[in-house]
Amino acid sequence: MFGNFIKRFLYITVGIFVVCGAGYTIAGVETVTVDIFGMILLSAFATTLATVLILPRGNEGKVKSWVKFILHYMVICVIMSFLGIRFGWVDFSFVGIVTMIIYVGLVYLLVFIFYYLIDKKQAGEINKMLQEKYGDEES
Amino acid sequence: MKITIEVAKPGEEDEIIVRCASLDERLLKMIQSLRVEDQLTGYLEDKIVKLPLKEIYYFEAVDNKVFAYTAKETFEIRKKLYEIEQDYEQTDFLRISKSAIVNVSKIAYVKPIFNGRFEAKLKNDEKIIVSRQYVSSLKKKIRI
Repeated sequence: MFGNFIKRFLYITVGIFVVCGAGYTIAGVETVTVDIFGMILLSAFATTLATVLILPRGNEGKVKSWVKFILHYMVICVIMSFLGIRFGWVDFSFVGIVTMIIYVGLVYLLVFIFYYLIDKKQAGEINKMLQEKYGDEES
Repeated sequence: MKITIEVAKPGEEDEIIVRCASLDERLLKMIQSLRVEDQLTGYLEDKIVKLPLKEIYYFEAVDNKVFAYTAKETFEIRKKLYEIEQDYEQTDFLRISKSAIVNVSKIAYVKPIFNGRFEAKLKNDEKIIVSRQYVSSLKKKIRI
């Protein structure tokens, strides 16, 4: 469980870093303070905790998995909207909250891509071993 | 390790004697694999069938019953899934989810799908899901 938490924390932290960097670049911000690192780490910690607690574990049914995914996304948006306003990343306004929801979506997408690439590599390794060990066996 | 084969007298039962200073893991695994029967009793309607293990693709628990799936048929097994998991731990059978045990030698390939799960395509073209928490066991079984 702890290993899973750390792995997710790392992926989410990198995702937030990338989206933050992109966001600041689009906004034309040229310098940031060192505080940003602490803010990103705190955001990553809070969202990782929510992720580990809410995200489906993979052995639920299809409907239950989707409900948990949607709930997870909503909870992450709430957490990040609160933190984003506190840290001054977005304004406390409709536009600010929508912006944060989009940012959360982008981090979601990045983390999904990280996991998919790792899983694809694992599948490749497994398939290679399966072929070496059982490839000659008839079905 | 020295292996000695002696011819038994007529009428004598086949016997395997393991002589060792201490039972280590390697010997325990060997003994376990010798103890495992290579067939299982399956039930299909009013038929009772002896199923060779190597013909079973996977076991699945459905509605408190356990079924064994071969290339083309399905048989009920009068054992619990955890018993099958324990009995055949040293063979190619591996638990891949809460309700399924697969014969790893029957997997054609795996591919990642949604939510960190993998889909295993079997050699009879059936598909079965490998839950995320069992992926490392699968890698260990085929020794990655």
